[in-house]
Amino acid sequence: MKDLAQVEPILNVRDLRTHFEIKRGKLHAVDGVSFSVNPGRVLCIVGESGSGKSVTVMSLLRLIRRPGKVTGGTAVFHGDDLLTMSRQQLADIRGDRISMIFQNPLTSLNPALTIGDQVSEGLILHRGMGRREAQAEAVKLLRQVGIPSPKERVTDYPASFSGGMRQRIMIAAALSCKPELLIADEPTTALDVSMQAQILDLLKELQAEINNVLVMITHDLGVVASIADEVMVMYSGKVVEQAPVREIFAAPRHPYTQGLIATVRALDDASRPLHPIPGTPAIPLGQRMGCAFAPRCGFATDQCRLETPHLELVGSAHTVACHVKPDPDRTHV
Amino acid sequence: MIVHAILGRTARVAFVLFGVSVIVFGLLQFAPGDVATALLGPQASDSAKELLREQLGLNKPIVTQYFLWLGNTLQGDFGVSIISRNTVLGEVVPRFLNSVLLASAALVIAIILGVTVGIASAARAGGFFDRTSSASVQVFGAMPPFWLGLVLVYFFALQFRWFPATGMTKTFGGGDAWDIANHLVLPAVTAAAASAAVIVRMVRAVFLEVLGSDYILVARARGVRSWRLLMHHALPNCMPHVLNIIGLQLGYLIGGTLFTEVVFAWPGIGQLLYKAILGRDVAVVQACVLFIALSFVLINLAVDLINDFLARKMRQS
Repeated sequence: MKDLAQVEPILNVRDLRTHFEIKRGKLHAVDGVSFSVNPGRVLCIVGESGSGKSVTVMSLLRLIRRPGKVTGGTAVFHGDDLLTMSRQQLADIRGDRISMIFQNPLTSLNPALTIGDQVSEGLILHRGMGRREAQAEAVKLLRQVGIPSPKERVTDYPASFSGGMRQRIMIAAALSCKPELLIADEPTTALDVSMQAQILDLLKELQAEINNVLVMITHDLGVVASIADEVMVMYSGKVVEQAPVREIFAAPRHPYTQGLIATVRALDDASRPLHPIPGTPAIPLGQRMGCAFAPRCGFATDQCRLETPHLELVGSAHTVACHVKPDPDRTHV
Repeated sequence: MIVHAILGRTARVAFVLFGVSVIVFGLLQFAPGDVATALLGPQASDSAKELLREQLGLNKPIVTQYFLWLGNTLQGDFGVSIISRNTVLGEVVPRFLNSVLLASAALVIAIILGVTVGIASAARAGGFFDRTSSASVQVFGAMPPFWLGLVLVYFFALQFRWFPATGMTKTFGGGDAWDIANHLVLPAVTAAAASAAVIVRMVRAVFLEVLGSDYILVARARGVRSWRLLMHHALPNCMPHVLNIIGLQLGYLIGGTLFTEVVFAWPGIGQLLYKAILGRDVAVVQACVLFIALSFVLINLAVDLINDFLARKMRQS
């Protein structure tokens, strides 16, 4: 019997750094992020807007545009570093072994190409299929993600589909080559609530079917609870806590994670008072000293303001970057 | 639906053409001097002039005159040239066809040059090629055709002797396709330069905008690269804008062609118009202006209809 820790991870990210050169200085959007994902698992990356979640996953596929730049780290996928391999090698992996679903289905589909063109493109590029064969496969994929009468609609343009339908089409396109790693960047944020649940169910179902790895970005802890195996919490470009999903909810050790969970509990249970996290998210700009969360943290000490905390093990698979590591029972930020 | 759109556009075009006809008719009214005197010469007797006025209907009220003129024009009767004594239509049509040849050649050059350089610049924005092309665009875009024409003639006709300097055919024994093509090169390049420069700039801007959109990022994430990304994913979304730009440029191109014809002695409508103005040949001026305006309006109608068609194709299920 193999121990979980000995399983070879599909993707191993070490000390990833992405900077944006802007007028006011250097923005450390991703500042030394490390994580790995194991076969058949679902990792959720959680955090506020601007915490660096999206930039992290975009950096992995080198989809960052100027003025952004990946400046350091490694992202080893099956023994090859995604960050240093040739463009051709990377293009062969994109859409084939690693696929991505984006946040806004309304702008993610090309309005000038039929949905069949877009769903079948990966098969043509990576599987060497002919146009007709790929179109037939696209019909199957569209049926699989729940597009009604796919045979008739495969030659339609995106404009004739609703937001939820378009996200289904995006999922069909992303899964066309049965990728080992699927990255979903807030796939339900732009959709209405009933649609969100359907899309999540679809993702879960397909993930179980292909048995691939799903990395999902979200700021919705409800989504995390329903889908995640592991959770990684980001704040201001850094990972502040990482743990299996049960532990994150049962015993969060970082004040920021505790704050996030407290706000959600308050929303679920009207009798509890709402505890918003005071202050606004820190902007990771210029030289940084101490813990980025310290200005908003009720437990902050002088050490927090001077020394940057590093990730430490607090359980078998639970790491946290905090000098104080307050007990979860005292949850009050 | 499509028939409806065509009718709508055409109705607007008819309205524009009505305005054009009023202005062209007005040319005759505002032209300095008396038409009868211009036609018969200063020595003509008053009674002869009066008789001519009566024949031409110049004594009738102006609105009646307009409709008489319009009626004749619609039947293809533009009157007689006072310089050549030919019918105006017989003067204008062959010249107009020569101009169409020159303008088409210039258009082809401007589109090929403008679109390819524009796309190449956008593909590597900020790179060496982009910076070089931007600088050239500034230089060529700022050159008026009559000056650029002289420069080209100096180098390519007088110094290198690659192409003839003026005219459309050799004086003796010319007139075959190869001869005309040879004469066409310098004027076509001259007329195309300014438009090509503008097309480069606009196509570059349109492409940059489209390349910044989400679906291009999605395509890249799917493993789509370089050529396919530009041609298959970006170009169809740029097409309506590019067509629009080209449509707008046609107006400048026609204007540039008129200047170019004078510089290169190309026997087109621009040269005819220039001579007619100098000779106060009002009927010919009217016909030239009408032909130019008509082609401008019809070209724009065609561009609009193509754009409607493309947009409809994208939107419809």
